[in-house]
Amino acid sequence: MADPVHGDRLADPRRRDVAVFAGLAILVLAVSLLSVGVGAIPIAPARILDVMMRGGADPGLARDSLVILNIRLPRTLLGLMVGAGLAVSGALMQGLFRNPLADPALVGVSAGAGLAAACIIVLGDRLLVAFGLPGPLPYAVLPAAAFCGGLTATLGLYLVATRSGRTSVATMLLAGIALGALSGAMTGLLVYASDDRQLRDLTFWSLGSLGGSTWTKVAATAPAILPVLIAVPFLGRGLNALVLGEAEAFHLGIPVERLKRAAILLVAIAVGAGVAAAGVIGFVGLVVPHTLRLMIGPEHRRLLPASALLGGTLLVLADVAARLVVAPAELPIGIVTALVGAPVFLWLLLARTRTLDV
Amino acid sequence: MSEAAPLLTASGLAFATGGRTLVEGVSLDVEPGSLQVIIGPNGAGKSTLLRLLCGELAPTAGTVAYGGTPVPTIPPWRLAALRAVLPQTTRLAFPFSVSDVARIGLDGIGRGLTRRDREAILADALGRADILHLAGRAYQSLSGGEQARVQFARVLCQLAAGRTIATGQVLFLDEPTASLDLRHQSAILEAVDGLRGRGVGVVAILHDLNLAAAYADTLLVLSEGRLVARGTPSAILRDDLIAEVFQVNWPVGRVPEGGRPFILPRRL
Repeated sequence: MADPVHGDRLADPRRRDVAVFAGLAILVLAVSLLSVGVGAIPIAPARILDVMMRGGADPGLARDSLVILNIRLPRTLLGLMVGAGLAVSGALMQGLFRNPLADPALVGVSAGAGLAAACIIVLGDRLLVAFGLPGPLPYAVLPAAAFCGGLTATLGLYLVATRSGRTSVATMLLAGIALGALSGAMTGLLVYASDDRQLRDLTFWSLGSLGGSTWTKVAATAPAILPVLIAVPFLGRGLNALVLGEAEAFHLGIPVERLKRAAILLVAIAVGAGVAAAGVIGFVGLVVPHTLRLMIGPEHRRLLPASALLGGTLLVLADVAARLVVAPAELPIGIVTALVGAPVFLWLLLARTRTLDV
Repeated sequence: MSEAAPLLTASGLAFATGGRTLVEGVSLDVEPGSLQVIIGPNGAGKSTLLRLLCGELAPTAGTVAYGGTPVPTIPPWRLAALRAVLPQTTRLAFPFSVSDVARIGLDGIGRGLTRRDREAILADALGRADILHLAGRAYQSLSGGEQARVQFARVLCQLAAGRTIATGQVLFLDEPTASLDLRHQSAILEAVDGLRGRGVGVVAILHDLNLAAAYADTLLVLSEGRLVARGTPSAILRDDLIAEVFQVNWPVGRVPEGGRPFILPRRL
């Protein structure tokens, strides 16, 4: 018998959810194997498993083991975490702004985080000297600064773009452009104050790269992004209600102000940690939730965890492409995501003007 | 006066913003099973009054209490069990399906319910709002009237979920019939009558005075933020009062059976 409540297409939502999440988990594993396997020294999946099982015990695996454990595994793990964090941040911001066009990079949040990180890169050592403290700065200062930058930008954006509970898309995008331009100009100023090494670092920030992945970065990023990924599904109910509007969400019993504060905080943490680890990477937060809404619908309790899985997958895949396209050199990963994401963004914008007024 | 204690008591409500007073000196009680309809011209403060009563806006003076408890001390989830609100229009940014939108009514306070109970409440609400056949459609693809019925189903879900943890509910309706055809205007107000039978007290804003006369037991006339008259439809709908409040000379008649008042447009 047809189920009138769910319609024919969604005959059994629970079975469909299991299939979707199993599929996404398999994708994560497959892409991770690919990412660990490809490069200057190709390593077959069977051999990867060998190395993971027996590690350095077998001298025949020593070289592969070195490549995998020191270079490719931290890089892949970092890619999964940063991608998951960016995609989830995108989905959160879109829920918060009630708008599918919000993306941390597009609206200047990543730029804010990047500017704060750039300040630390260029001015950090001088500040240490000025205050007479022993150097060098611990790595964790960088994600902390990026978090503060991201938080400031998100709050500023929210204050500017939201009037009496309604977010104007035009204001949000324009304010995002202004925020991005301001952060860009200030980062540009920092360029003049930086030496050669710092200049290389700054270029890396502005275009994004997983190239410098180390276990240190993994260890600094995981405590920021993993708690966000764990916390985010608990916001699903509230974000679903928020889709109806802030007043309606309040009528339904959602503590709206607390929900908004939590969402802004989680976005700032995830984007800050992501930017600190891999620089400014755009469009992941836009493309991933949008694709998933087409596949599994906009319900946030499914959308948020699914975004984490697909975001990690896509970023690692983009990193593989960045490594292969101009091998033995590497493209900045931000270029790859922008090449894919910008057309999707345009298409979204066009589809939107056809169905709704912006 | 009444045998049961009022569900809601508002006294001396005032609300001012930007140097303008939108509501002033409004006091009212909501009794179980009653339907009070707020009427008045545009800009009289009807929606503002509704938002004050449901706890969405904090009054600049006066208090609103549910069952004797002042609104500021009631946590949001508890308030959501005590009252539901049907807004005028709701647009969505994401392509939620009709049943997903109605189900949101269960999300806030229906967590303690079993899956089976939730589905039963949902199916019942979709049926009462006459949208079972639209359940799988995207909300955004519906007409304004169909969307209004989906929101009504969502409100029914919230009330049903709230009934499992609270007694004495109040329902607020902001122009519930504005975009509906005659059959669905009647269907929604009949469904509201059903809720009144279960003891739900209802406060509605209606522009259609004939609908108000047919269903309300009390009319509240709001003009420039003040309650200028209140009483039964027969007592309130008089030529002089209509002329004074709405600035039109439309004649009030009486239907032959029962003597219920009705109002007819007249060209200037």
